[in-house]
Amino acid sequence: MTLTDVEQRARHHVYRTFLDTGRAPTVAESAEQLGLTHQEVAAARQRLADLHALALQTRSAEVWMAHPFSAVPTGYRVVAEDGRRWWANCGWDAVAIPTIAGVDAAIEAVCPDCGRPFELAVQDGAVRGDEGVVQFCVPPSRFWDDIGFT
Amino acid sequence: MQLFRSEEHAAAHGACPSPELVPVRQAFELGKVWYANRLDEEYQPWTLAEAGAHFTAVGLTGAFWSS
Repeated sequence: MTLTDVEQRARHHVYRTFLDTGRAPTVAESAEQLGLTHQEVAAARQRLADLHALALQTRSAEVWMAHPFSAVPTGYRVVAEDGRRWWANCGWDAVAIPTIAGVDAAIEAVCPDCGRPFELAVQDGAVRGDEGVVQFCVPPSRFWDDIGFT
Repeated sequence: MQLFRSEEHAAAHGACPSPELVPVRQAFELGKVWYANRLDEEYQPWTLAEAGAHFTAVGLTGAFWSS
């Protein structure tokens, strides 16, 4: 898979914006900040989605997921010690975000079975707090069959 | 991929028929390598061989991880 320069820039802009602000950039924001047209950003995002490098909202070029980040609220909140906050797509993504952000962070989530909140954090490069298990319902080769379910 | 308090809690919830349950610390180690390329300016997704090597490196070696 080879990405064009515009696709690389559009993808990286989504990730940098998530990392810095906790949210996805709109098409308009990416266009303005990258010096591209809306159509160029939308086309780049669509190809990235086709290649499973992003997930887009339905009938839109706005971002839904840029793993491990979610652009919409979920049951998994990551709260960094420096004040940044992110929504994670799932329990696995929640514990992954502090590492790629390079920051200690608390994971806010509840057990779907009993409803009790976890006391879980990533600190000094390790997971601290409650034990738990991440449930993978589909194997890796089928992650993108239905990414919302995965 | 939901996070449960234990295998017993996952089984009681019954969200999917035959899940693979990964201890959170092992999932954390997988996340470190799986997402290591996401902030690269010149992003290249993992090849199938690289992805398989990441699973093996953190001890995920069953049929689920190679299917």
